[in-house]
Amino acid sequence: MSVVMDLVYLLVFPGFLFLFAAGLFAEYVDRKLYAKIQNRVGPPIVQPFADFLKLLSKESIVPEAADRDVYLVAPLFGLAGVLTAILYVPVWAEEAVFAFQGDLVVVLFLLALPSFALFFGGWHSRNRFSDVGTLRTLTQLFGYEVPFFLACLAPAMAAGSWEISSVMGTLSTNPVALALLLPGFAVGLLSLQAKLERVPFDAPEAETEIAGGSLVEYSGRKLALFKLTKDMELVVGAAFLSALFLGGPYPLVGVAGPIGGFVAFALKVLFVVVLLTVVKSAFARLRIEQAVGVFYRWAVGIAIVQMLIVIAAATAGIGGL
Amino acid sequence: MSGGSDERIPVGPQHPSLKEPANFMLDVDGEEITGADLTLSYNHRGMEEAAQRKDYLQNIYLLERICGICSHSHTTAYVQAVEELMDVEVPDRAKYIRTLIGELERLHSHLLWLGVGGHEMGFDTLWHYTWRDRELVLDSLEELTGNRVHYAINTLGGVREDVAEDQFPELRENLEQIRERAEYYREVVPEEETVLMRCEGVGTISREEASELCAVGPTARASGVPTDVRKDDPYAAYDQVDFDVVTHEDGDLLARVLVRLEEIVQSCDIVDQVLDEMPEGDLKGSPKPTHTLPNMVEEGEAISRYEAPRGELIHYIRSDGSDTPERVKVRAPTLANWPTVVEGLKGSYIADTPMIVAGIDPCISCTSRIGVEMSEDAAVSIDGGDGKLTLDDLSDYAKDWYGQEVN
Amino acid sequence: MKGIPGRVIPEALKTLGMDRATVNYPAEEAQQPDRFRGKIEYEAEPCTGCGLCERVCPADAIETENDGERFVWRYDLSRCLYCGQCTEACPPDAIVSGEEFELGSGNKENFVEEHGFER
Repeated sequence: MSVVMDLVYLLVFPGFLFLFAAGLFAEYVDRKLYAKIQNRVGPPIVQPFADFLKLLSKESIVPEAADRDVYLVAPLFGLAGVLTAILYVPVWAEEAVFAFQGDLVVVLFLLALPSFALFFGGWHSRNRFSDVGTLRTLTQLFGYEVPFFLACLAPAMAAGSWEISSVMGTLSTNPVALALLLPGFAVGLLSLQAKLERVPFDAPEAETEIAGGSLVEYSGRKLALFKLTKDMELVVGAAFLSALFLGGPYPLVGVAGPIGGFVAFALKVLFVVVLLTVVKSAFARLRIEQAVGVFYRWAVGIAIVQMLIVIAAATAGIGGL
Repeated sequence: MSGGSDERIPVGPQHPSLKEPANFMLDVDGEEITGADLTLSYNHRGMEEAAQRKDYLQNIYLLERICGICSHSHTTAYVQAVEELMDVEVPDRAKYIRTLIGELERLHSHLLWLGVGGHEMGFDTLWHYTWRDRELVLDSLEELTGNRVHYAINTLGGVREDVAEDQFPELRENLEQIRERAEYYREVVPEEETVLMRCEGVGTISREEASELCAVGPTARASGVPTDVRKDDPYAAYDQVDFDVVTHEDGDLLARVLVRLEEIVQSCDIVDQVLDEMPEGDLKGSPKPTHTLPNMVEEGEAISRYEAPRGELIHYIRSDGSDTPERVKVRAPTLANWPTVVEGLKGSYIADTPMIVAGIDPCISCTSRIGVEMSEDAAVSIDGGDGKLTLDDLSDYAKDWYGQEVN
Repeated sequence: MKGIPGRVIPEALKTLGMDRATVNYPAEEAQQPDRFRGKIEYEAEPCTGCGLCERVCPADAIETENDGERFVWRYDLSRCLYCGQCTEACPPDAIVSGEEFELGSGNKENFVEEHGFER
């Protein structure tokens, strides 16, 4: 019985099918809000799905100079990472589907896989533009991973646990602690924006400079998988941040059971997506060294300050930390 | 083909950042550009040759289509040269109307550039805002002339359409809104931190370099060279309106942005003055029907200069007394600005290439009059040894070039 | 840091409350101003067969045939620049600029219009 349930979790909810639908919906929200900010109409709700289907129907060309094996496997790599990561994030209840001590770190590593997939795919495409793009992806990785890890460390320190579900359980009933963790949330948002390679941190994919960066040689099904990975990463990243900093499925779990928990979770994920879209629309694209500079000059500092705040609050006994 | 320390990255002729085909071969070392090679003339259409087969009246519509954004600049410059050859006096009202349309064109061109610059930077929101506000200018132009892009308001000796009395209030209302938006951009764009980060110190051209490379227009004015044909050599009604030549000292991309933002507000001022002071009078300088005017052109040559939104535009016409010109030569302002791009690219990053190219507001269709590469070991000596290039020399060179093996 | 990050955000949030700036064409009709230069319209009645329109056209879009008995006026939509020079040159105003601009067609034959009258 539990094997069947595990398969349902893996493939239907909150696994593949749910994440597929959620990713496409998040892309719709992102594009619609972006368009409204720019005084335009924006796409209808079926547009992301139509784009996905269209890409599936196109010819998938493998360049002659590319390393065939790595080139073909790369899209699946990132997809696997993202699909696995959602299983450790609480989606409708206090506990995630699979939870254990240390799954916070595991999710952080799994969320790095899509960037590596871009690197493998782009580097083994053997194209001048994708060379530049992949180098920028890696450079940016060195920039945002450190603040991201530090920012996600803060709630773990505050709750005294390495398990996402218990971090969320401890903090979500504690509004003072959540307020103290806001700087970490800001750093987490910024780093997530860079992980997803969106403006202002989309130098690796700069359309007007290097014609698409790592994904230049991808077409058809593989490109569809890359884009799907990006959408899913948006949802998983937003869910991860909302579980750590915004309280996840609380406060409706106790009140309205799993349905209520899921509604609260969805609202919070949408909120994070909206924040990321507003950031995307308000800035120009930074050069790669400027982007890394922003992270090392500001984000790391704020993350360290955040950790000091947590330590100080715990010592002083504020907020029950 | 893996990355060594010296790679060549081709930008163009098909590239997402270029609106028209041009080719830059960048020598790069990591992210830094060490040298650049420029190849133009992908958009060569034989305009000058076609102009020699049509009469002076038909050429207005032909030369208008050299460029979509600065179409009025081309017709006015051309028509001014022909009027000099015809010795016809243009009435004041026609001059004011030409100025009005010219400044509206400068407004729409600078707003378009602001949007395109934003897009090159990845700032799509700015792009959509400026292009939305640009629609107000295009609506006004359509009310006045009947078309949004190729206005065809000029004719030999004057203009074709009048500004009717009942159009003034709507024009002024549109102008109010445009001015409000222009002042918003002038305030906000230089204050946005990411714009400053991308534009400051990028593609710097010093004042001496700008003078030496013969830069024109806002590109030169941003480096401190106060060259503006509207002040240096006034035409149409520019000697009767009050405006400043906008310059800036730094010479980097931010300076060019600031110069153009200020020029947008200046243009609103000029349009206000023109609408207030428009004199009564005829629209055409000659009472004869316009289709007979090409026969009145006398033998001689004429040069006409115009301050297009991108800089100084020169038209040269040589006439042999018939109703078709013997030679028409167009020197577009973008052609004069390309050397600054090549200079500015050296020492910059790859990421700055679209910005530096967009900084001169390139109109590659305007530029592509001719592209000749003189190499020491060419199979044919291009100028036949006498130091002068004639059309026949070039025609022989082209036949020889296409007859060669492509290597 | 000399500027303000996110300086555009107030304007962005204000724009969320505005109506869209785009026109839903072709569901909504496009409005043309009076002076709009669309497809030219020819009337045989005032036409004198002088052929000035053919002479001034920059794009060779108008062709006339005159064999003494019948005058034929042929107009190629696909060559026309919509400049309006023919409307200016025509002495009896037999040619005027119309309002039509939705002129696309899949057949090349649809682009040539022919009118004529007996002299």
